[in-house]
Amino acid sequence: MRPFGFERPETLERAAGIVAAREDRAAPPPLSSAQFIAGGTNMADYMKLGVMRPNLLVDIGRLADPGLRRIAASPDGIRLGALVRMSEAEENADIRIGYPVIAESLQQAASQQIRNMASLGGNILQRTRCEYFRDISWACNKRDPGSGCAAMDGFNRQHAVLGVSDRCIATYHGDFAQALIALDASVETQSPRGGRTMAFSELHRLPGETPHVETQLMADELITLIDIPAKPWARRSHYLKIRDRQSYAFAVASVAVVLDLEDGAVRDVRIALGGLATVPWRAQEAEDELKGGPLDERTAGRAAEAAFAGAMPREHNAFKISLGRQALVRALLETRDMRV
Amino acid sequence: MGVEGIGARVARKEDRRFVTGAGRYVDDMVVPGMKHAAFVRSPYAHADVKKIDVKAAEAMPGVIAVLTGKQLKGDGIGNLICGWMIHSKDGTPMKMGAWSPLAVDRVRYVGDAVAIVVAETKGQARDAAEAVEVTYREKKAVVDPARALAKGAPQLHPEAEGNLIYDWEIGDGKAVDAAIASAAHVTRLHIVNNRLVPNAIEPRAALGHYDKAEDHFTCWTTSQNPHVARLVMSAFYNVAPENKLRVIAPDVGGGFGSKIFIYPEEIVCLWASKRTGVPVKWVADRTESFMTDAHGRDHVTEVEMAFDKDNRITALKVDTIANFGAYMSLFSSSVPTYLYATLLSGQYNIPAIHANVRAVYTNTSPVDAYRGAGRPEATYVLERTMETAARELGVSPAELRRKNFVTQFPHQTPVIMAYDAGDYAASLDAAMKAADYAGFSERKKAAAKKGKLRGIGMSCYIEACGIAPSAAVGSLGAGVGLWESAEVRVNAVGTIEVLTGSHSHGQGHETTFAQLVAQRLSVPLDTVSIVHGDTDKVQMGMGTYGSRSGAVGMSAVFKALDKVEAKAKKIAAHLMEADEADIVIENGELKVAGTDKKLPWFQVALASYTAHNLPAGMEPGLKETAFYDPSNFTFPAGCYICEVEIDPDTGVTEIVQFVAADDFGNIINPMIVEGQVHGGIAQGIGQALLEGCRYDPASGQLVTASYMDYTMPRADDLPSFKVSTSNTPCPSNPLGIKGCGEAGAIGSPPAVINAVTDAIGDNDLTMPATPLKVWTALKAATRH
Amino acid sequence: MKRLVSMTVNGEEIELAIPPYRTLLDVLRNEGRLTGTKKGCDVGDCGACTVIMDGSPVNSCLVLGIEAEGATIETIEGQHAGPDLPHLIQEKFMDHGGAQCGFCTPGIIMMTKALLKENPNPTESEVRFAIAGNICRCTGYAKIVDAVLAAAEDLRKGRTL
Repeated sequence: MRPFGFERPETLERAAGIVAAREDRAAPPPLSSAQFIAGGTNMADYMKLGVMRPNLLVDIGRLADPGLRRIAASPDGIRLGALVRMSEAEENADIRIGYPVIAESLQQAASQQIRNMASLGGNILQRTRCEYFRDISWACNKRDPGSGCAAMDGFNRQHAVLGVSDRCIATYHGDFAQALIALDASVETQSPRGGRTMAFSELHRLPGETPHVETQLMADELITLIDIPAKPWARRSHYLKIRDRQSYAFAVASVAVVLDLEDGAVRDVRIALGGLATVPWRAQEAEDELKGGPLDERTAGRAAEAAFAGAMPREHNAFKISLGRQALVRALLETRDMRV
Repeated sequence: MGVEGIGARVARKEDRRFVTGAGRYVDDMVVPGMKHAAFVRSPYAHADVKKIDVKAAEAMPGVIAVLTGKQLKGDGIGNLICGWMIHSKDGTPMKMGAWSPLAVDRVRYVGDAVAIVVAETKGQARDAAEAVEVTYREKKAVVDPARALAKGAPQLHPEAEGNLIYDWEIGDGKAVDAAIASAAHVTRLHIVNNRLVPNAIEPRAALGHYDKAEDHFTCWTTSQNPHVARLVMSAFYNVAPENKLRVIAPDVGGGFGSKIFIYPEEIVCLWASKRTGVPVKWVADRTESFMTDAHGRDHVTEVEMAFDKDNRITALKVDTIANFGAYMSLFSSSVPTYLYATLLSGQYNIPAIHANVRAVYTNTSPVDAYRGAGRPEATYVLERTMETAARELGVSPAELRRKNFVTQFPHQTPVIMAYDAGDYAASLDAAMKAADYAGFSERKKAAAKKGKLRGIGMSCYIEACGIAPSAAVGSLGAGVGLWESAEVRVNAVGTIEVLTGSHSHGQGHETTFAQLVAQRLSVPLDTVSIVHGDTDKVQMGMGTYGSRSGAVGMSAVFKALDKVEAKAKKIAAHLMEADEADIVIENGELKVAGTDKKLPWFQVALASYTAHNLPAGMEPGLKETAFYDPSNFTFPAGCYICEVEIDPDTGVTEIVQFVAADDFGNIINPMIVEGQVHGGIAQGIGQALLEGCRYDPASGQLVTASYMDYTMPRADDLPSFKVSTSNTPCPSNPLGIKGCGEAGAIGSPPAVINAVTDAIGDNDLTMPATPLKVWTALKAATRH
Repeated sequence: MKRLVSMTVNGEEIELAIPPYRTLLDVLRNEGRLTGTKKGCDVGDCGACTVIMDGSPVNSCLVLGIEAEGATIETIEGQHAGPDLPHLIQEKFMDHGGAQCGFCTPGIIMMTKALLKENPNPTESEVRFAIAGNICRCTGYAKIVDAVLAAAEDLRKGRTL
């Protein structure tokens, strides 16, 4: 890694303030010369590859605020501190019982070592694993705005079919985010301008013309909390991940389902799709197809069609539409058949 | 067989240091004053190098030197060679293009090195490497061999017109064509053997140290054959005369063939250490390893197998294009010729065989031997074809094979190899029994009820290893002999050292070689040390690859032991005033048979060194050397059966069982043999289902250059394995050993693919049969 | 700009001045002179660099050295049952042939220790899942799994980690 400065503030305010004092504080966070680091599983990796080149790292891993490390379950839902480790959340009994889609999404990610290191906040902000983004010898609008996109006509098997633009087709690979979408989660942030809350589904921005702008966050803004509202029907929830091999790999297609079934009919449903879109993706059209009716192969199939109606494949990833539909159907049926 | 002798399941002596983290690998070595190197590498697959400007780099912090190919050549460093001459059909020698350790005016693959930076720290070296300004003029690149052969393709080397290195053949084309023309049935297949990256977990590394005071070089390197490295670096690369070059291969973290070759980096580090006056260490990072370690396989083959009306094979015709990458690596030429085509008879009686092999340059990483080296390719061709033929002919895969097995030995094949001993039906029977082959159809039905697709596939492989009889390979073009050496030193007070030219980088020689000595000389395992890996300590040897250390390396030890035993017996007989013929070795003692006269080993050893009372004319000392040259290849063979269950919704293949029944002749340590088979099977399953090396066709960039993109088998990708061995002892070496290092990787890929194609009912599937490919094939099938 | 960092490594408190960009792996291997932990890929994919940090197995190649300030680190060098006595896990790896070239072995042994501390009675499937972050190219994992399960069995019989 190239040399960089390092600060380890004690408080959130100080951490945000360090970045706020920088000359390029208005830069989109990924391009800011100062970067926050928590578990380091994404940041250290990208710095070694030269994909990210901050000259200042602000270590937020030891911020004093206990709320950042707490998992608080209550009748109102679950509040997860942004510094809670993936493995801690995955092993939490309240989460496993009340919100199995969260536990499953965390468990099937990466390796035990990485799950022990990575924070939930860092996990949801993870950057793409697109091979053209990760290798600095390729043109990449996300890494280097305006330089072009080598994936468009390259080997784009891993790339997104939903939420794409003509500037970027990089997939958002995170699993945990899909569970959050499907649970109507919200996030709380802190910056020198105060605190704010937003729906998790609004955190990420579509690539559009500015793929280098990935979220609503400002460079000096930190996620502090993930709030999952109580949903008794979240007990019937499931994360299905299809990938090239058993472990360690990113999803080729994944589906998070939360299902409210009454007497065989769908009272309510949430569906999120991973490995298929440029951002965490709520399959609203699919949900609308299902509400109020029975859930069987046929209705699930219709929902799946609706989910991918707007899909835009490139040369190598058209299969994701078919595979994605199939995964959606299967995830729905598996969730339906869960014993809760 | 004693508790610690041949055949014993002894724990490995070397493990103590491995499990405690005390292994010493090249990157663990520190030499006083050591500096660090980084290489400047071409980002283009094909380009002219117009200018290299090092001024900015030289000025960077910590930089000691930035050196280029011009300087290297100016100092007389030679080009890399391929050490096995192959001639084309028309008699012309193979077209070897020049490969300078640092490219001077042309780069031919992404990763081709053009300069070396030596700096105080690795980080500084890397930063400076980025500051070296190289002006390239990009050229069109070609990564596919068929395209490389086509008219108008970019030409890589002036020596090789049309990028063709050689067009070689073996066998009787006329006889084969006639048999095909009159056959009752012909099975035809197009077969791709996918390119693989060996990926030993220890990245390649080199530490070059020139000692000015002694005018002497030392090179620590991740090598499977330090003496070969020394020979080649001296004789061809002009680094130093042999007597001024010491090569040390300490603990090496896996090789699988990729660490046989002498690469640009070790040559350049040695040269740079003389230029700069400091020791220079280089360690590959993983992406560098992906780009510059020799890759494996990468064949495309058309095969035709002809049968008579009784389903007997009458002929085999094979046409292969082998991708060699940008340069000819050290053994590359032999892999698709004498290590491949000569195995095309497989376990079968095939009266007529013809193989045509074209070797092609492309703008990709050089390709050379990787676990199995040619034999996995041959086995894949044969066993996929046999399975396909069985399906076409409507006969069971086992019966078609059985009908065609060689049963009389020795058996001369039409492609040079003469099989010495074997019992192929026994392995097939053992495998089928262990796999409960008969119960498969019930299991398939049960799986179908759960919506899953089950398939079963077999592979009956044979390979030629125990490489190799020197005269034979010499006559076929090899530049070296493939004997092995051993020196057995009995120390003055009776402990024993064996200096072997073999090298252990995972194979457990410190244990197995000691087991042989313990058995022969009836001494505790503890008292035997195996010394290897240092050209200063050990006499010339050829190293470890081609499953040769048991058959050849240990036979050399055996011969040396013969001499030690003979001399010790003479001394003992003399000391005990008995007849030499009456001396036996038992329980650590030399005894006069039928009496209670005996001498412990240490006393006989001591006597040889005090020399107070030796037989007249006998020299003092008890130390004997032997060079063993095998009289034939050895022929391990066996049967592998793989059963899979596929989820049609996801295309994911689960291996529900994998059975291996191998005949390795005599084995020294069953635990180590099992480990070798497991590891080989894991690599074979990796090839079949997971691993695929991919180049971007337009730019020649290696797309799969990390563990994230190139799928390595992990613990939860693999089942446990059911392995067993039978034994038809090898008649051509004193230990009856055939060798076991490569068999797993040779036999397994066709067993897996035969099973997967059986499960999905579609024979048209290339490796790796990833979930996506399987899923796509199933989708295509349901559309019809 | 170097920072003074103190951490406990294998029970011993050490203090080092390290620049922020050096990883824990490099610090252990170089400044710490503990070369048992290996570098296989340096980007968190292969697990050869696994150490136990504050009780959890992590990829030390992704941990900045300065992040280890105040941490308790266990590496392969610290594993033994007594002077010259192999640790239970090391013993089982030797008994069952769980090592071949030995390069991935330290990382896998540390991962195994962490696994068995948390789950002393794993199934084969749980073992394979737990070590899925450690790549071995030599063994095909079979004998590693045997060794881990054998260690677990000994734990059940009352031996300690």
